[in-house]
Amino acid sequence: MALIDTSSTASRKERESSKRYESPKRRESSKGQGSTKDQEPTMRRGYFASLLRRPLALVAHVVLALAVIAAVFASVYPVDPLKQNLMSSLMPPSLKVDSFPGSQAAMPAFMGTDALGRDLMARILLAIRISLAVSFLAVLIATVVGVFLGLIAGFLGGVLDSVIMRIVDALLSLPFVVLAIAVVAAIGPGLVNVALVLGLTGWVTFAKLVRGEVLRIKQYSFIEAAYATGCSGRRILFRHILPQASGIILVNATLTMGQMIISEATLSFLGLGVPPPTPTLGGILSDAQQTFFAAWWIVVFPGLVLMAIILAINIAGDFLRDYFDPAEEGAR
Amino acid sequence: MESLITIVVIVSVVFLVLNLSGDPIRMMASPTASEEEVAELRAAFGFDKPLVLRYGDFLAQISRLRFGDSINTRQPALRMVLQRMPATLLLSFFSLALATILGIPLGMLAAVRRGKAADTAAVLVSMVGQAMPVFWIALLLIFVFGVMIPILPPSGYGTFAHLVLPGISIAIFLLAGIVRVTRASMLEVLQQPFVTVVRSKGLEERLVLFKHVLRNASIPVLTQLTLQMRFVIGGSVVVESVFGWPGVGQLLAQAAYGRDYPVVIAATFFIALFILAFSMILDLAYGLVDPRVRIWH
Repeated sequence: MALIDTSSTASRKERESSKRYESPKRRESSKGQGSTKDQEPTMRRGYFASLLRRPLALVAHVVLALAVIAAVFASVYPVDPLKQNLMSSLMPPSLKVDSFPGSQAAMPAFMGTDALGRDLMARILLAIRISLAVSFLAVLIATVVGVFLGLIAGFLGGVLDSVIMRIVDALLSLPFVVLAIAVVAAIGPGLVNVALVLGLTGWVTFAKLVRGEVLRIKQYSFIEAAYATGCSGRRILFRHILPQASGIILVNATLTMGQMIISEATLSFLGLGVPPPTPTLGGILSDAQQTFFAAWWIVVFPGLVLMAIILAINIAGDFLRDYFDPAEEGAR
Repeated sequence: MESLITIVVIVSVVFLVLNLSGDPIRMMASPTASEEEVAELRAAFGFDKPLVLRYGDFLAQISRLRFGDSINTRQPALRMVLQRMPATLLLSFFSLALATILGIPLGMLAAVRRGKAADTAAVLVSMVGQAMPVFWIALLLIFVFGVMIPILPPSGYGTFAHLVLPGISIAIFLLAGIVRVTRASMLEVLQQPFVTVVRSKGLEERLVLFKHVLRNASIPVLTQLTLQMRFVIGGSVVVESVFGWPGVGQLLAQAAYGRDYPVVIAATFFIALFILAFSMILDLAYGLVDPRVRIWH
């Protein structure tokens, strides 16, 4: 990178660098002022304030909060999700307290029972926990691996970059599910394995995205300045470039989370995910196929829960994208 | 050339994962097998050689389309996959066609009526459609059209009626993406000055939309279709399993369940090949709609 650059772009670069030197908060406020849509002269709105202006995103956040609460407190629900009771097999949803005979607790079967007489509500609550835990772990693995590889690919360039991007492009051309199935075939099903499989197949989008960001950020003069002050390459990469890319990484992580939940459910549905008796949303739906003609509730409720969570994550992800990049708002 | 590298990378990744994750022979052999029997089996499948040699052998075999025999059925994996390819192709193209034929007009409608009820509805539908797992759509469709109003067969293969439900299951997810992209792309083109020009010269609005705007807006839609093919195949793995559709996807899921490595590799190989071939054909279609990218003449 040329340190002495007195070409015609110097003035533009200077302006950019002066912008970049300010603390992140200030920089964002100047961005907000520049936008014609945003008339307020003060700093960019806080997260919560901008959330209030988007009712749909607010609802999505509430749904997600509920899902997390359900996941955390699943075991507080007084009905045992694994206890079988053939006396109460395939009971329809009901609000009556004694709705299923021989129940362990005085709780109505809000969502009915499955073929083995297990309470569907308790099973779904536990399944949400499994689903969120596996997906979160998978996103974590995908983020760490993808961001790391993307950073070195974009920063170092050369042969390493070509090799990594070749692999990324090849893996991106294959359906995610097909790849995950092929890997599950190798390492076998199980909770940690599924998270590993999804994480190790899901890193590619992060790598591609982060590499592009690094290439873009590398151009800025503040990186040049960091070199000039004698920063090591590692310091520049992790202390100067990575924080600049963090917003877009967070957005991608959110949107990937939705994909991971679908993929986890799909693998469980095919019998390649977390094995029974642990309830999973995909597994419950897979079992539902056998009692299709008698019990609609086993098909409807887990699917609705799945859809609500994924929809909420997608909406929240779109909101985050707009939040981190207000200029893009409305351009979608 | 690009595609060749892609295929080699995909096959190599699958090979590496299958080989680095424990001993496939140990899992293949019955638990009661003696050490000699395991060693014999290992030699029979060539697993007694070091990894690098095996990788070389593997690439050499794959390049001649030799995938070996299925561990579970003892049939050649290649034949098993090829026999099931037509069913998958039929399902893929049917659902893709269905989604395109419905999705492009819906996306256009949403763009033209921007902000009106039709637009809101289209945006909502595409959001919900993308959040519904394909297998759940499939189950709901079976429930409604196979159980409640039994007019369509819930599973099987052979007639057109069998094709409808699996096709719609995949198409709903695709439709969501196509509507979204068509709408966004149309909105962008509608803002361009040339649209005002054609309108002001007195051209009928119908012709403006179909002849000028749609054609200019179709490149992102084509790109989206290329990307969608991955979801078509990904969806067909699941949908084929639900509907008992005898395609490659169902085979792949079963082979993965039974740890049938040769079949997993062969199925992955042909799925990758199909997707690459499809995107190459669509790349040519770019030239049809946009003279600027034409490479012939």
